[in-house]
Amino acid sequence: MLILKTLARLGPMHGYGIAQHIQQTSEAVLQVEEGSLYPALQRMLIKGWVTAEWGQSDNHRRARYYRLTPAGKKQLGVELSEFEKVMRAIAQVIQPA
Amino acid sequence: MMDWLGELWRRLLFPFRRQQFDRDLEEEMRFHLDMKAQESGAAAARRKFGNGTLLLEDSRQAWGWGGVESWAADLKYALRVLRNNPGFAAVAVFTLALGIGASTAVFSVVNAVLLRPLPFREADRLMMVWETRETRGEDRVVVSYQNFCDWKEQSRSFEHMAVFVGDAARMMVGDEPVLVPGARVSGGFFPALGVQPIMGRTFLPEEERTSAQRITVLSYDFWQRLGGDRNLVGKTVQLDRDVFTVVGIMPRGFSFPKDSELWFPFATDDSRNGPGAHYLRVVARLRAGVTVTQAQSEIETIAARLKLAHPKENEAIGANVVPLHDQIVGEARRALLVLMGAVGCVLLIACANVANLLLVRVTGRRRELALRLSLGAGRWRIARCLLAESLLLALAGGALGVAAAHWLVRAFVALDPIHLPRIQEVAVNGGVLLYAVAAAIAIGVLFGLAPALHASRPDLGNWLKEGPGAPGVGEFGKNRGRSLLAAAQIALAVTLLIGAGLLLRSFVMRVRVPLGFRPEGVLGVELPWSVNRRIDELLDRLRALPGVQAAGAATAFPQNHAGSYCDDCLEIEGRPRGQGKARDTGFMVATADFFRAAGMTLQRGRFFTAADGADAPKVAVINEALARRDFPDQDPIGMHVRWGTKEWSTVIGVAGNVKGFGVAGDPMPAVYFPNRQASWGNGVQVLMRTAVPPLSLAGAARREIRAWNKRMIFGKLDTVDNMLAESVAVPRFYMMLVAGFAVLALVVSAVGVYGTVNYSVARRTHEIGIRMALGAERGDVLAMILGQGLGLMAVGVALGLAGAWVSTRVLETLLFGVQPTDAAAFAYGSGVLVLAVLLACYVPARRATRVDPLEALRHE
Repeated sequence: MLILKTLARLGPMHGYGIAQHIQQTSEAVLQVEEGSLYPALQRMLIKGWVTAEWGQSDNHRRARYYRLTPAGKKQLGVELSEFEKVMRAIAQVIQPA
Repeated sequence: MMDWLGELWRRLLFPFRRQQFDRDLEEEMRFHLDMKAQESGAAAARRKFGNGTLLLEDSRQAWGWGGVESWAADLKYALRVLRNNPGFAAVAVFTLALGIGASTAVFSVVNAVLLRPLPFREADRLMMVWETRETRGEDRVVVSYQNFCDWKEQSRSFEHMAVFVGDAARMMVGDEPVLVPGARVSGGFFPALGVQPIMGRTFLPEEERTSAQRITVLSYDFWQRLGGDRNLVGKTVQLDRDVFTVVGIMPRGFSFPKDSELWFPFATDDSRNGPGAHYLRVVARLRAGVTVTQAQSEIETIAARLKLAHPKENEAIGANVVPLHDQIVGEARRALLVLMGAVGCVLLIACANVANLLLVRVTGRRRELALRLSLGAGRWRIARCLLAESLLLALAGGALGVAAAHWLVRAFVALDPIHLPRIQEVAVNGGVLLYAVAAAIAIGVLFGLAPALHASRPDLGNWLKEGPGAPGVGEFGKNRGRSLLAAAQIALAVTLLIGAGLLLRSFVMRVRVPLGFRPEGVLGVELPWSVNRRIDELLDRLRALPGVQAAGAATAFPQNHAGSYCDDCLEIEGRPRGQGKARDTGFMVATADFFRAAGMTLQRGRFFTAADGADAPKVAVINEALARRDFPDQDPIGMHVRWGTKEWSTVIGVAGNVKGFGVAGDPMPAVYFPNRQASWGNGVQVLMRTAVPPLSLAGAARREIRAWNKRMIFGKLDTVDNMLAESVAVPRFYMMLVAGFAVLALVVSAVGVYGTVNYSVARRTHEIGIRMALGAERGDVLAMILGQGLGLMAVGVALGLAGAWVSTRVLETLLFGVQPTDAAAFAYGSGVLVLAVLLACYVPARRATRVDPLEALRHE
């Protein structure tokens, strides 16, 4: 979900960029092995939520850019609403009575 | 839906883009690391990124090909391991090929004969309907036309019902007459079997009369032999003296009843169709949805009604529905199942052997496995490697076995040693292949599981420490798996040996029954019954041949099943006629010289002579069994008997009992009448006692028969010795086959025990060395090693005896004169095995005693 959201916000981005973005926006709370991004991206490629193509990075190196597909957008919508449902439920449970 | 398809497509493309994928991913990760390194230094970047190789592996795994790829790697590795141990691989593959080959061959026979439906449309609905004789306990008696008509008219269970009776036509092929087998069949015959001619038609109702034009339907094969003329329908063929119009040709492969080449219409107005003439067979097709039980109860009701309606003709006559498949396969079923069981034992023993070999190997490879485990290989992965190895072995063995089975089956079909029904359908086909492959895979997994389990419960520390000759690990107690396998092998082998012993003893009993005649030096030939009284002419000719001492003839000698018998035909003057099985009496016709030619014994009185002609006083000879049954306390000579005639015959002699061809019961009481005072009922068996080797006269005898009757078809000219051998060919075949399997089982399991003990000795060389250095005598060492083997054997033999006690019961109907729990067979069976196992233990035990303590200790 985080990857999909990042791609939706930033447009096409390479793996390093995605990792950077997630870390920065979550204010370093979400600390993951950055490498684990790549198996996840593979799974999304299989599902057809993202496509990948080689392009030029900001510092003129070859980098692989991932782009959200319409199916990916739909999936993001689904996951966001699922997430909100869960959040709402948690919120209700922990709300002071 | 589309998503799913797209995903599948992307996954399928993956293997082709594999290299591209690896390059891309690596570059991508390097880029990530480089960027990160610029930011926070190379070491931190790598720490933050995680295990690159593992991640690469994970990414690849995501595409779902990981399983396949690692299996392929496992197989490749297994192949390499096996190639490096050609001896082990060869022994394992050969053992498995033996087991799988033998079982595949037997299964292909079982499959064709027992499992596959008969080659008819909806064959499970085809039935035979028989009369029964309630008082005699017979349930498959040929049917009278009257009863057939009543059944057909009154029953609702059958869609079609038809009678047929075997018939044959004579044809001249060059100068030699040949008999073409066929059948006369009534209207519903072809519809009942669900076949239609490929050309022409079958019979019309108006053709089922004696007065109708002579017509015939041909089998495909017979049509081909006649030249395969596509316009043959409507033309005529000459059969014997008659001309028949061909009205139809049946499809290829249709030949029912067995071996039929021709079909003729059954004449419903035939004078032979009287109410007392029971000579027909009935085939019927059940209506859809009707079960055999329903049909059976309906036909019983009808039979009960007929009994009331025709009390005279149908007294004690019932009816019985038998599925056609049971009818055809019938007797072969049990024998085939026994063979299947025997061959299954062989297969299991072979598997146990290979499992043992693998276990031994895996113990030897523990260091390697432990190393791999400690380097991070998963237990499942290790187990899978071992499974791949065993699967590879099993499949190789299976392939070799199938090839062997293919040749075995071809040879078996060509020889047809036991006249199996449906033998022509036996082949290694798709179903059989499926069986073999399934068996191979099941076996591979099964015996691969033992070592795999062993390796998945590793004791890393100790395994790594193990040297090549580590002490202790070869002990039986510590290796329950292997001992269990060896004991199971022994148990199975004991069971098989006992089974074989029973069949062997039964066979010996069968051949040991006194014959009652001397078969040596006798040439025989069977002639059709139509020879009648002209037989004397032929016998004179044969007697004139140089080297012939005596020539005689009798109906179906010695009284085989073709001889006729009857329970209420024999009348003894002054006594009421009896009925029931105990009154069954055989009816024989014999010529004057017959008793001498056969070498039968005379108990009292005299045999027939040339003087017992048509006009002479009527005489008869009875056998010993008849004398004992009907004249226990009096002299039968001079008593008067008759068999369906007006005149009485005087008993002039008592002949010794004669054992029948293939008939394995007590001799039946029988009465002989001279051929000039009675007419032949059945075939005529001519016997020539010769002073020279009998077969040297075969050519001359054949020429004499031809000169006497040019057109007559006669059976094989052969020695009576050969005929007797032929009559026990079936039990002998089963006996040999099961004995063969038993010997195989014996050898394989002895090799298994040898391997186990030998391995143990090899592993304990060091320990034995210490023992001997400390003063153990050779005898002590010998006893120690033997003791282990014998413990194993005791368990195995005990299990085997118990198994045999339970399982030999299935042999009961195949045995003659031997109980399935025959003590001698049990003793022989286990005795032979004990000897073999002793030998298998002794050889390695001997080697153990020759261990040089110095050598063994330096070995460490």
